[in-house]
Amino acid sequence: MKHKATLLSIMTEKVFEENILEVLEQEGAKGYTIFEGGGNGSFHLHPAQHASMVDEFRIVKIEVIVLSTDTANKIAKRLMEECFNEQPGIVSLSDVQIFRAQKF
Amino acid sequence: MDTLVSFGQLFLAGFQTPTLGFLLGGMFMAAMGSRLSIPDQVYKFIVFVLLMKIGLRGGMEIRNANLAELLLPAFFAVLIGIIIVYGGKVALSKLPGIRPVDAIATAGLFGAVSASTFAAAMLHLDDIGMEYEAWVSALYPFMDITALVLAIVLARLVTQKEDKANDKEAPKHKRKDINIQAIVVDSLRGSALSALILGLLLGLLTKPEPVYESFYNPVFRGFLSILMVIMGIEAWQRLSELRRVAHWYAVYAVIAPLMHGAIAFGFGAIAHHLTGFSPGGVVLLAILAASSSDISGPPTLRAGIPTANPSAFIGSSTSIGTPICIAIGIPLFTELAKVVF
Repeated sequence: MKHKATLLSIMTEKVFEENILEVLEQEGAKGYTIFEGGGNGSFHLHPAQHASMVDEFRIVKIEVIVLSTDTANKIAKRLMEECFNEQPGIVSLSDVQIFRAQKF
Repeated sequence: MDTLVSFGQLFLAGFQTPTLGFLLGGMFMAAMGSRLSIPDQVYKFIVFVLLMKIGLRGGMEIRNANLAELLLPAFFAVLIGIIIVYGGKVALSKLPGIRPVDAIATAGLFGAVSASTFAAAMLHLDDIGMEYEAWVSALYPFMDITALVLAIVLARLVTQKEDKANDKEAPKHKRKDINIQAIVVDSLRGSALSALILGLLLGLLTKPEPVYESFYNPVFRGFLSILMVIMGIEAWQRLSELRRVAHWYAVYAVIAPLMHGAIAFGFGAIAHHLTGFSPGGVVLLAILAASSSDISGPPTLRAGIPTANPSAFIGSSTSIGTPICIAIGIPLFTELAKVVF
């Protein structure tokens, strides 16, 4: 009943979200979830505790689960080459177990 | 000497006006570590209402205006946008510890326009009874978009040159041409310009006088004062970011608004002599140039120049450029207009 899959977590600023979603859709991800939040990083621009005048600088975490490890690696590679060579961002992969494999 | 005294009095009186007083109040509360915060949504709504008011009034006036009069100031607005960005790039790049892309992004933000500062200037002119053409608000996009597009294009050229110098093969996706149209469309779709354009269109094509008189005009002053508190808080908080980057940004942020305003004032004076552009209009053109974008400019530049450090350009604009423009720029150029014209 349980299936092995790979969870990709992508952290970046909201302003760069669009390019990333484009890559995910091109690589056939069937769905993704976006979390908005704050934090601290090399640019110190993401205060979670107070209102920021510029919404686009919020940190977003985009999570997508894919069944095939190859697809996950391919997405990660494309993101690192196409999006994150200039823009700030973190991509991490982790093994997860999922139910209902047909959804991924 | 009289002018100097009168400017001093005006400056003192300025501290007591809702605009500057509330801005400083916001800064003071933030400096005291106050947890006072105003929700994002409120702030966005206020900016929308202010720009709608400015747009509606501009649109209603364009209906009866001779559009040929708008052409010269619009051309000057574009020209000023170019001068600010190019001048800022050259000046900042010469200073120590400043990367070329950061210099360009900062100059781009100072070339772009601040809606809140512009609103404050209009209110000031209304208060002292100086006449101006309400269609000056239609000049906003000419200067704003020119500056942002030019900054992004210049930054691309610098990055490509650096890549070539380092003998780096540019990755495939970076070799694509700069898409100017995409940047222009993106700027026009930004929340600030969208609201202004909607207001202009509604003012031009419909008859919004009743809603303008009963809602937009009466709330303008109160909403602007709330916005000033928010901007004061933001200015203080961004100051700590500015401390992490080269101090030259602070120097630039103090001098640039006044210098840009003076350049625009000069162009405005030419338009005054050639086409009868009103003194109040010249002041507003100077403020358009002196102001630096706080809302719509930063994300456009962040997306267009991802290698530039946002702490540098947003810090200089929001925490120093805007307060200087409101506290000194607005009274200075108003007084100058009284003396010159």
